Amino acid sequence: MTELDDIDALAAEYVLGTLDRDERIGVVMRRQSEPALEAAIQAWERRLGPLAEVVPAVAPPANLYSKIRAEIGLAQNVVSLRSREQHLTRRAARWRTATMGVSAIAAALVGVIGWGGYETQRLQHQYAAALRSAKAEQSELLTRHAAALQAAKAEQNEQLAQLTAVLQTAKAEQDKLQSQYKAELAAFKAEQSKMPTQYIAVLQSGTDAPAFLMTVDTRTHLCVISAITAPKQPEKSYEVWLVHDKMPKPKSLGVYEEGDMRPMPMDNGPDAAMFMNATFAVSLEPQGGSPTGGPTGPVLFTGKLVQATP
Amino acid sequence: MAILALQGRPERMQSSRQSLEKLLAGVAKGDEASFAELYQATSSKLFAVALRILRSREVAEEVVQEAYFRVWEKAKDFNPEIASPITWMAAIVRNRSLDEVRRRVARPFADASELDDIESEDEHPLNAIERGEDVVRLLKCLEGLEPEKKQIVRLAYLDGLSREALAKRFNRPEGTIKTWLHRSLAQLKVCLER
Repeated sequence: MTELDDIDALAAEYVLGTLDRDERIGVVMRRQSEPALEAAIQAWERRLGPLAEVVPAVAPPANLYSKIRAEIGLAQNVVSLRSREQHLTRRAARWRTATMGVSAIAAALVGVIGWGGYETQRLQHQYAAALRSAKAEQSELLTRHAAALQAAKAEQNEQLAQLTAVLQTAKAEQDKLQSQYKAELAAFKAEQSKMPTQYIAVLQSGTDAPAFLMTVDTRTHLCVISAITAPKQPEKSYEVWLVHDKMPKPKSLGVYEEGDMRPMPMDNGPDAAMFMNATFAVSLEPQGGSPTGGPTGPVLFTGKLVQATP
Repeated sequence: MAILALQGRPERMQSSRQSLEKLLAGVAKGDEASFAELYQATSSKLFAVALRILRSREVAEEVVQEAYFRVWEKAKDFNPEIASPITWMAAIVRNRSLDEVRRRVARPFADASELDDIESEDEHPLNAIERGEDVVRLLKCLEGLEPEKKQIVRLAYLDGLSREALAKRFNRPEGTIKTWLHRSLAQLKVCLER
């Protein structure tokens, strides 16, 4: 016995109807791009098709045709009804004119007028019927449109809901990240606040006891100088200087007032890095400070900043 | 009388096929009157084909409605050299019905007795006189199959039973059913080409 090749067997089973859903879908997709399969299917439809004729006829529901016609010809129907409507309107108008003419000529032609009136009425009925069916058609169309619109809206709503959900998730994610960032920042700041910000310089002469103590706060940018063992110098003033290689001459930070812990803002002076590496010096000047802008008296004490807080 | 009918038949079949072809050509041009006439001539046959596979008037109605919509749209593609009009239309209805029945996983009827009823529902013998040459030849070739295999082919084609359903019904593994089907189809092919 001859065997069917793979394509022929697939086509035969497809036409016979024994394939499962996935196999059928596979065949439907393949047949468009595989002429051999398509031809085999058509051949099997030719072979087995006559078998369908042994099925005894069953009348479909009476309204099925109108449903089909409605489906295929909605637009066409409306168009044809409209043209029929216009046609009937024209005819009715003609008849109206005709009957008016007739009535003007002679009242004796009552029969003609009567017939004309009857015809007019008949046409009006026809027109009304056509209008009714056109309206029914239109309302059905509208219903369908409304249904389609509703479906589209529902779909849109669903998409919107999906989008909103995605957005919400994204936002929640962002909020989470932001709060994480904030927490990290706070932690960092807390860490930073523990970092050393205080510097101190002991100003002394040689290995003598410290004369002045200078503290610098990098956060507040203030520098405070206080006397420890510096002897009082009547009619004279101590003046504090900043000395650095990169500066052509010492810069005055201010005159020390006795018993005073006067803060001197660093902002007015050179930048912080320079400040940190500078040497600080105290000279003895005439009362009120150096008259020249540079140290004129002997430099009594010097010192450098060291980190005070760990 | 019978001889007369036999003599008259091929001519009538021919004319029926030709008139359907003419109607389809009209439909291809968008002629509604042709479509109405085509529906008149074919709808009870096609509805029966769908109903037998789907076993639900409601679903069959939907499928037939869709099928005629397709016929209206695809009439341009109909090629009388490849298929007869009724075969072409029946293929559309059968394919839609089979897709639908496979989509509805659980078939609403599993009762074998109900199946038996439907199985016997063949055309009335009187109508057989009207049968075309091709129908007669196909039925003759089917007769050449073993009874069980003939039944399987008919149940598949007319009632839309899948291999799985056939396997259950005949209490055989699906593989056996597949082999039987392929052999029966090959035998039919040979017989029909003879």
